[in-house]
Amino acid sequence: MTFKSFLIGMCLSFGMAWMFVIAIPTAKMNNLSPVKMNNEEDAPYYQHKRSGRVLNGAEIYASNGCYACHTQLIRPTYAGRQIWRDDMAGVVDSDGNDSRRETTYFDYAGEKYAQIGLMRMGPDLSNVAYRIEKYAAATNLSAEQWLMEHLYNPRNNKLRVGEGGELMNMDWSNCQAQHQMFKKSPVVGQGNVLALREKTEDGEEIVPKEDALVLASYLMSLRRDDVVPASMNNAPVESAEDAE
Amino acid sequence: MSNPSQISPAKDAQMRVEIDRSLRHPVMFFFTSGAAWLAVSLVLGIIASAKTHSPTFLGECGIFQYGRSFPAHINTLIYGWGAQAGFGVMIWLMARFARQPSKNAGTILTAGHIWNLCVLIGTIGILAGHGTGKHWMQFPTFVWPVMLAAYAVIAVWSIVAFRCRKNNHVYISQWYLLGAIIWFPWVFLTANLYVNVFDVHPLMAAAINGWFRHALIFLFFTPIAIASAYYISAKVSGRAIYNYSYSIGGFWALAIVAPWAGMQTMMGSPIPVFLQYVGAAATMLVGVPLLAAGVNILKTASGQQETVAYSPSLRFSIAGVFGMLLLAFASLILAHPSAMRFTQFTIAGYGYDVLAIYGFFSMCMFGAIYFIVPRITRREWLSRRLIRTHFWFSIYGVLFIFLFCTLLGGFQQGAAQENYTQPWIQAVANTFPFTVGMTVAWCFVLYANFFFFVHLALMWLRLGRRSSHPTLLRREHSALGPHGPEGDIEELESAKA
Repeated sequence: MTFKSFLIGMCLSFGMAWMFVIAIPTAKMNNLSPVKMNNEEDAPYYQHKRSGRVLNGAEIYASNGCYACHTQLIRPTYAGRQIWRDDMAGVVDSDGNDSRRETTYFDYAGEKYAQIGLMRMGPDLSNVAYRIEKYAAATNLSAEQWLMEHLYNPRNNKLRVGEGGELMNMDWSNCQAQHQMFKKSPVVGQGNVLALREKTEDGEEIVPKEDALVLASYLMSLRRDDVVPASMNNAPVESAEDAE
Repeated sequence: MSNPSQISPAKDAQMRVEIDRSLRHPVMFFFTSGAAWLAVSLVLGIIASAKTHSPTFLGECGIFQYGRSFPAHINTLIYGWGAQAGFGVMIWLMARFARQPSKNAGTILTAGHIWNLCVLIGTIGILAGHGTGKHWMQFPTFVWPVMLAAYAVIAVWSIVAFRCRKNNHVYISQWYLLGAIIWFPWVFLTANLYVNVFDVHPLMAAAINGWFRHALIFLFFTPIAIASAYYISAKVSGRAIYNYSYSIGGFWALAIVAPWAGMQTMMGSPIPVFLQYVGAAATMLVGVPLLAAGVNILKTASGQQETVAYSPSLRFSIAGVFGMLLLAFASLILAHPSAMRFTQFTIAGYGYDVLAIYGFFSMCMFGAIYFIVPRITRREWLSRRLIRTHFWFSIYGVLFIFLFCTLLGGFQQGAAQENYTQPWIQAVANTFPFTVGMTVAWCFVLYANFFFFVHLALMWLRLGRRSSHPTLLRREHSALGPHGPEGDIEELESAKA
């Protein structure tokens, strides 16, 4: 084997994989055509909506390593079963409205990098905004207030309310506290709306810094419950009867 | 791999000494700073692992929280230790094979310092909260072009040496090393351009990141480790490679299969489905070239149990080859689509990386380092006990991490996650014992490598034994002490003559 034939072999073997795994799929994924809501001729095109400080929120999410323990992917049932987990992929409300669905390629719109995640040390965050709102309502806080309390101390035992209305013990949580996103500040007037409920020993309040606000805005944008086009909708089937 | 050369043995020996002397400083720099980064990485690994089961460990400061210490741990392991150990072995082997002293030791040394500076800045960046959040690419983005430039300056001389080699025969290790030298910039540049520079779909950026991790393992770390294991097994056992054409076949099988691997990390995400399955299939098929190289190396060293047991370099290399076979087995199990539904988002993925980087690649690098360092410093290793400690603590640590924490733990964690009728606390509780086990195992590995670093640093200071007898892991004692007569090598040699 000469050096020349070695180089040709390297280019062919690597180049082919490079072409079919990297270059072509990337080009194709960059030019996705819009999807109609259904097969009817005058059906509207699907518009993905997402509001909040997504881009810089994603940066805070990434640089503090949230992706190491939290995923953002509801896999189809051939790859996993989290779509049936309570409040994970969407919710079924008391009227029977079912917003559960798998992740689509529109869901990461506005981000540069899809934080699929590495491990599920903590629960999936695809629809975390839902759960935040639910817990906040049960504890008489606004969603942002609840999130600030949670980011500062994930093992706070006053934040979760069980089904019977009792406070749940969260000592088991291995989530990392984000103290670096908060600072102490003297109470001015009626105090900061988003300050934590517990004051420091010298009567100061703990208020969120910019990072925490941006991250909260990002987390509140994680709500993948809109109606997607029929061709992409693979909502779970409750029983064989429903399937027919 | 003895080669019937035209020049006399004495001249040949002198040539080898010249090559070793010319590369003493860059190679020792790569090994020693690499070992130091390995120790740093292991400390960070212990912190990260402890944080997963005791989140209040070290207070709740931002710098060492899991989301920062874990990426810092992985990146120092890859770029601080792995890449630098690889560079050291690569440039030394390529110079020895080409039978030419290096004329660019100063340039390589400078580039090595720049590489270290990049790793340092990157690690501080991650800990200070400027990580990019792209696994294995968490260093702040301005670092990668500098790293690539430093790499080019380090590696280009090995290609030059290959082109100007003084003997026509090309050893299998040379092809593997040449492959690694060419693949690394290709993989590194592709991944960084697509993920950090080009405006690509966020899902494709994540998919290319998964591909990058596997390409780095299979197309950079793997070929260097295989090259080193081929070399050490042939050299120490004093035999030719068992089957040359078989080894060439193994190389091309790796070249053809490995670049397709990696995107199975995106299993179930809305990227084209064939990418997910091609990645899974390729990762499973990588077992074939690994098996080819593994069997060939083991056959070369077979029947020489005593040499394997006594020679530190051969013992580590053979352990690395078993690590490689275990990696082939792990790829088969963990990349299988029906296993991925359990293991995709568990500690199994991390354990797989640890097995590849520590259980396989690093063990081969330790073998090479125990072989190379006495030759370039002209001193022998100080202590059999330190080498033995390094070996056994590494073996037990990494086997515990892979077999217990990863295989058992990964499936336990995954099964709890899949059981959607149980609350999430079940998944956390099922993972707990395995994360504790991981912390303990890392402590073992750190213990091993702390002494390795000290031993290596002493060797660089040329405080090794002055003896013509290599340090063997023999137990029996002779009247002359465990290592034979002590004294200056030159004096001993002239006394013999």
